Amino acid sequence: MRYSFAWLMAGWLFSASSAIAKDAQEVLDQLRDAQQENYQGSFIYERKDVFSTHQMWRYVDESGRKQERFLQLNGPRFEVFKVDGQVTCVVHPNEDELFLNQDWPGQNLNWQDLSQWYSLQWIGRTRVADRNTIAVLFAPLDAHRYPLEVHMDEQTGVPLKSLLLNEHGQLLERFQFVNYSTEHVGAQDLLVEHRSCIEPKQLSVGEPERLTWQWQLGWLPEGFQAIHQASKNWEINRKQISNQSYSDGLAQFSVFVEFLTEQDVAATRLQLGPTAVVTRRLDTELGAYMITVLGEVPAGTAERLALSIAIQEQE
Amino acid sequence: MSQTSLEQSLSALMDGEADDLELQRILRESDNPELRAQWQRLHAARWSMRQEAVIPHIDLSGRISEALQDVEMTSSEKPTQPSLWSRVGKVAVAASVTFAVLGGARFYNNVNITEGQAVMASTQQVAPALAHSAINPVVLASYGGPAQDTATSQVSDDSSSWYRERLPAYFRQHNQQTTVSGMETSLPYARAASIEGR
Repeated sequence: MRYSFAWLMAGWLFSASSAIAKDAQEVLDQLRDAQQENYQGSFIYERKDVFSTHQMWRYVDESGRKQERFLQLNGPRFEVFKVDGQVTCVVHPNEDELFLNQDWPGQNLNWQDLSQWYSLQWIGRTRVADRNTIAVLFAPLDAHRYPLEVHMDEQTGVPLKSLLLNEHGQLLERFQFVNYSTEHVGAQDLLVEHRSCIEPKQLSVGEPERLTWQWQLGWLPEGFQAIHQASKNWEINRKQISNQSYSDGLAQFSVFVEFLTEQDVAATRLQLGPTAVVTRRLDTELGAYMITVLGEVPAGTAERLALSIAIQEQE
Repeated sequence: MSQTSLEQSLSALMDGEADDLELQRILRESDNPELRAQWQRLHAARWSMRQEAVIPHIDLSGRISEALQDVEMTSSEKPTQPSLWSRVGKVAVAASVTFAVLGGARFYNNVNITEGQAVMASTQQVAPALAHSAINPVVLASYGGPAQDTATSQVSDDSSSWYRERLPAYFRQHNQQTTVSGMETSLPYARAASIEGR
């Protein structure tokens, strides 16, 4: 940390200069355009009470099909295989677990506005996983999001390290590659033991009936936008759940609302590393509803969001 | 000792990574006004990163000088061959100097933090349902105390089964929909993995 702190110092000293901030945005845009297609590497993930090691492979074949494989290297065997962003296979110690594939393409949001919610600061050139990296700090301009430090590979733009901090500057989570290579990645690396695959459920299967109720957020922090055009309804054990996710380009939270048939479900608050979870039971004339707000936002923000949600009868 | 390498040592000290040699260099130069100004700037920078409005002015050099004077007095009073006990005493004084620096830095860095919280921030509360199934991993000393089980004592079966069923599914769904500003990152997968099989 000693040199990165020196760079942070430099970033702080120059943060007053908007020209430097603009440069950081330009660098970020360039890096985003220069995404590497094929790479592999191993990385660590660390948050409160969790330290795990992982291996990942990313390969785009001749037809442009993007395949990704993620493998947890310690603890229970957990493996995810994705094709074009859709989860097609999960290896999990509990075969009864429910996994959904992702077939909700988000809206194509314009993240040029990021600078309205974060001050983008140039930290400097760093080195991660034996690669030269460029580090920038997204410092939030209000209390509804966390600071994020990202170190991106100079050649490929892939984020090789990211640190999420809380409002006191304490580390909430660390994601960091240990080795990274853009060579020798082939289709053979993407082979998963398909015998042990849990096939994720299609969200569209068993189209849920139209809900007789709808929910609304009474408050949304500035800069956050809904990811989907409308909230999505899906099912867990025949229970209909209405879900929408919101993002400001970096931070994200999701809202889940369910009509409650269980009598006695208590509200709770949890903090799983960077992720705040707030549940709230809402008793209305229509019945009881369970509201869950979950995301990498400060707990106070999640709490306020949960409190602002109102249920209405659908016409 | 160049000013640059001294400043690097100072930066290392702030990050808690300075070795004994570096600490000695800093202490030797503790009257150097440039070094003291740098110490203040480092703190101001860190403070600004946390977006704190007020920057308290804390200068530990007085305490350090006092501790060092004690060392000198001990050695001048007893110019004879150092015994084992005097060496123990010196170690103790040296430790107290270290404590004056590190303890002060710690106070400075953790003004809003109660004793016991450490590197990894945020308290981990365990959901009523997860509390029954979770296997608490070994907690490293520097990561604060073990996860506090704040589950209520009477958890109904409804509550338990609801949380056991919903939270992992919600967590997965949330992470599957996470995009970080169009960047290709494995972070959402890693976050999702952190609750699997636990």
